[in-house]
Amino acid sequence: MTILEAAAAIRAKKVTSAELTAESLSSIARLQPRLNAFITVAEERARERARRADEELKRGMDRGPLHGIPIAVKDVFCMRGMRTTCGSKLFENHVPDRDAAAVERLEAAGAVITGKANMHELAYGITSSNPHFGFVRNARNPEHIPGGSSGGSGSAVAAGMVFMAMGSDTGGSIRIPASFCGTVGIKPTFGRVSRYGVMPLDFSLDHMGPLTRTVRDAAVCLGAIAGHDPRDETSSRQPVPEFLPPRQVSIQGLRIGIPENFYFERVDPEVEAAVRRMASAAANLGATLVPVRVPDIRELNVIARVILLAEASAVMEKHLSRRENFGADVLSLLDQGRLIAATDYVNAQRLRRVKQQEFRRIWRHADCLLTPCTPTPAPKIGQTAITIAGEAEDARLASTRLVRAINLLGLPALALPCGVHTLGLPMGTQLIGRPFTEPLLFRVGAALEDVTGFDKRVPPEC
Amino acid sequence: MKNWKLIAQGLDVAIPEADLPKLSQTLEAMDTAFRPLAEAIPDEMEPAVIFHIQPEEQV
Repeated sequence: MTILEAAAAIRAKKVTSAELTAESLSSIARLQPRLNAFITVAEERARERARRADEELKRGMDRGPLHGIPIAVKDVFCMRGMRTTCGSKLFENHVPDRDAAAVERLEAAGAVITGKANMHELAYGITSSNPHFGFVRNARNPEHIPGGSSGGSGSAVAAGMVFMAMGSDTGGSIRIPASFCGTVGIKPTFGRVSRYGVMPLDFSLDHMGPLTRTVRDAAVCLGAIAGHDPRDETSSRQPVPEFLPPRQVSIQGLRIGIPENFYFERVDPEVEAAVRRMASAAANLGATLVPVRVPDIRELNVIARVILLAEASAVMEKHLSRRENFGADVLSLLDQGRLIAATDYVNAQRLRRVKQQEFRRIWRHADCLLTPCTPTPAPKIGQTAITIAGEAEDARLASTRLVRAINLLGLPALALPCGVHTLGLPMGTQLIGRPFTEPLLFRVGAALEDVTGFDKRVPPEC
Repeated sequence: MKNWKLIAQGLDVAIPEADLPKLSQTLEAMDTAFRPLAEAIPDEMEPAVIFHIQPEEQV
């Protein structure tokens, strides 16, 4: 069942929020030992909120499609009175005295938060193999990573534990788990969703967004959390449009850019074929496929890495004297960041503007880009390298290779499933748009989802 | 090639000796790719860093 279906069922009095929430909590209890998707489950709080949601609806107070819907938030979103760990031993007993803006808005929209999703330590990695709170496992195959850093969010949504889980994305941390777990994930335009109350990894690259089962559900959730927030200096004053595409969505005449360089190089052949089938599906729906050359994404990735290393280490430096509190992979990245020269950091932020100007030229020829999201399906837990076309590559760098640059540019990007690999694992595609064109990405994504039906695939034994 | 070990020592960053070779290799690869980009930045290009100032009441 999707959010929109559940919302209709609640209003048709076929089900209550209390029943949906009880089902969600039961699913969490059953699957948590296998997937470890949660750090904290807020059972009593969720049941109380669900009861309240039902009472409000009985009184005729309707907060919209999320009213009474059980969801989760990554354990990077502060919640007043509820432990928020950021997946780190440093914060294992941290209980904030405020709610993150996204939490405030989701609860104002009536959503029922069932708990805090497990994640990669400090949101700094792609495996979600957390040394402090246990490894998260992929709902499609527990021997594989769910991606990260929002791995618990991806696995929880894919397994049907919740209808939506919030994630954060600094170098692909929403889109990678979406791709590996077979869910939808939207990284909105920088500034579209407030970062207030979210424990930071990187001030200038962090983005917040939902992971859901369908594109339309992602649109509904983004509608609930988007909008200006004076408490976040980077928050945009752009008006919030209607994100939800209509039932009969048309992409007739849209120009979809298919990169001629970079994005299809060193990609698993099955992933490439699946993404090209999505492009063909778009063409069959009346879109025009436009070959485009993109600026050198390798350069953008290097610039983004310099910024991330420096900013993340600046955030965490005061804690680095207690080295035993960090996992080895995260500590290595934080050490690297401490050795970046200040001049390199400033120049990386200058290069960001140079690359922003270069990338802008693409939109003369295309309304959005269609690319693979990750070059392979999910690696196995513990796998540190992947081999594509006979060439071995570090698994972390490979998994972020097609997504990281978009954080540097601040552009919106929508990840959605595009098929199932012969390994039995999902494959993901990515739609990238101009700033603040999420409605267009949702239109294209919904049209493709309607004809391919990849959102209907349910993980085994879940 | 930068001497990352000396940089770490100079900055008094306590990185275990055993971790330095791998860390140096990663940083060197990144630095090699980054250097030519940094050298080609137009002089007038401002960094993408936010600082806002608003009028304030006199206190």
